[in-house]
Amino acid sequence: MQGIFNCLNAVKHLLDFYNFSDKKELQSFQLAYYKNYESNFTTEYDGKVQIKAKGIKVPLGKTLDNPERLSNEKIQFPLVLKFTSPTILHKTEIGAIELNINNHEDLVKKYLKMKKNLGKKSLEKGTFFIEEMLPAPIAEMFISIRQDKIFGDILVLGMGGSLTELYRDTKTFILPASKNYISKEIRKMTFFNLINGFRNKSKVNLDMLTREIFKIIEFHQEEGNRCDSIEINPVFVYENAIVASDCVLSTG
Amino acid sequence: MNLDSFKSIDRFFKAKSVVFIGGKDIFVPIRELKRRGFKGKIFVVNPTRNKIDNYKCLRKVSDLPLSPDAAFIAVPAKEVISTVRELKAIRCKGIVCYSAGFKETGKSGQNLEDTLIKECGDIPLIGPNCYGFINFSDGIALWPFSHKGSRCKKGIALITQSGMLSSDIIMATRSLPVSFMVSAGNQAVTKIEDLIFYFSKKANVCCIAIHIEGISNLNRFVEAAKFSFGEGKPIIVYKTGRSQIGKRIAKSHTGSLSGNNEIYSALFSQLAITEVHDPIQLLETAKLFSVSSPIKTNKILAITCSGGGAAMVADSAEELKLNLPNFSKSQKMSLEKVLPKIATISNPLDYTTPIWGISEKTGPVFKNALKQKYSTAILVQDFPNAQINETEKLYLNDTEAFIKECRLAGLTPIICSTLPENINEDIGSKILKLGGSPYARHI
Repeated sequence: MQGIFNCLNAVKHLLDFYNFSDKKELQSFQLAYYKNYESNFTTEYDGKVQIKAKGIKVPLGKTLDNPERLSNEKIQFPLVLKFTSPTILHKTEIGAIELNINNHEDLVKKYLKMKKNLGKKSLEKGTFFIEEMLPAPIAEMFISIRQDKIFGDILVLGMGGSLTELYRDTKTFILPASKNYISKEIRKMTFFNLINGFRNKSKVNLDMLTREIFKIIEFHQEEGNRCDSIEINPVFVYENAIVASDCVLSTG
Repeated sequence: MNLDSFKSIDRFFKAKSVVFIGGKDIFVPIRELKRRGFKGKIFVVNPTRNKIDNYKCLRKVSDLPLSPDAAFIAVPAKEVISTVRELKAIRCKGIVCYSAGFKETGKSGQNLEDTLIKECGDIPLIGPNCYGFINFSDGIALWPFSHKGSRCKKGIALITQSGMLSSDIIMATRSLPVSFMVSAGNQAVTKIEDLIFYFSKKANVCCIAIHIEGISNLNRFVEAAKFSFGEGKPIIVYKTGRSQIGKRIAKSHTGSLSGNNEIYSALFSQLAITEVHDPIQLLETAKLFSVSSPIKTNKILAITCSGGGAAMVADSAEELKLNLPNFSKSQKMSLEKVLPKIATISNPLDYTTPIWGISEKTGPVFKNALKQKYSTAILVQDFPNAQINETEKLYLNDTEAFIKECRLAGLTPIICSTLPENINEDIGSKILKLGGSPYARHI
């Protein structure tokens, strides 16, 4: 063998090959057919209602049907105020999200401010809603599933939050992929260090995480849902649960 | 792959009669076929010349006295279709189309290629826009450039989409056991997927190393990869066109569209295909796959004759998450007895220069160091170059002792140099005679 690194690298490849664990899954592996749903984006709120129905956790929330009578709403503080419409994919940039609202007075103030910011045109297309303020997670991640015309269904997992593009710590999978395989691949990510007791934080239950990811996969696969793509970013990851803090869903 | 298509490629790759069609471009391929030691029949077709390389030229394909097993076409692109039609009429078994000017040139070339595909039907055709194939196992080459390499009963099947890379690999001084080389070019008819199916069934192939620019039929590629895994033939892939610039070149090069990098990597990983990221890794990895028995644990033993070398191995191993386990107490005690006092007893083990080259002394060191369950054992050796070879014998003494002890311990011995050049071809063949890697246990 020629060159120490090249030699050891080859040893590593050999080891990975003979330890390939998904032998059975490999023999039944097939690329998924592309399903043309002629899909459209739903609002964040509607998306969350849909995934919640399939057992994917989302923050407690409700729409503000009559925002002028806010004081009549029975709500728990602190909370988050959001405006959602099918055309808004990134709320922070246009001021359609307010965090850490602690009382009625603050809520009314933020609501009026948001209304003013968004302008009449945007307001016509969407609704305001409030959500419980989630406790700080161990980590934020993103989970995205989309259809690709050539490769079929693609799952991408990654470190979430505002630095997603900077870290580029992602793993791509072509579905179907087994729970065992996905959990093995997550272990290879930098992200895994973050959820595995980094700086004395609690450890995330990896089996739980994989199971929850599979709920999202099943949601995408279930033809009745006519789901073209789903992107949840950020997903708040806790010791024994994950919560979809946002949801961009495209269905047909 | 059905039996018929296996048989038809097999007859083509093991051709006993070959016809060359063309002019100045067929002198070299004829010479290269003979260089391989081809014992079969050679015919040459050229409408105007009387002789090419001492072969009397037939005027046209239909003048051939038999149905050739293989044809090498090097005529202008516009004459390729009619030539293929004539070859089909005389029931030629397989074709290498060296001629370029098809899909890779754009729209009109694509049309010409579509016609070629229709004309060809079920006859295997390598190319167009390719270098052809070399069968090192049976001694046949339809190859348009000077090439080297010796008979190889069992080894790597290499498939590349870039003709030049395939030639570069053949020229490399890396002691590669290669049984087949195919430069697939545009893959108009016979595609990489077909070749994977074929090589998976070949007893003289231990693994398949592929350079890919793009995959045209993904579903079939998936099936081919599953098949090769089932047949126990590992695939190693080097996919180019990962960078934005690389993608542009890949397109103009052979006309295949490069896809999304991360998805391709995911695909390879899920299909148990080993992906590498440069041509050197492609060759070194394929080399190891072709010589090593299966390994299951990351425990390796590394032996050097220098503290510097030991540190380099340790650094690389750590980066790759390979484990260099400590020696047991009893191993340490027995190693103390056979090593000079100055030696530090740890893995990687620097056996130190006082005993270097004295196999009666290094042999027991290797034996004791190997008394643990490793998956791999590596001896780092950088050999002197040909002009200063008075110490070569001493190096080889240790090589021999190491190989012997590895065999007794049931491990594939790996001799590895710090710098790639320091195991040259001459040394390579000497290690081969001693029975150590980089040479296949099968040859």
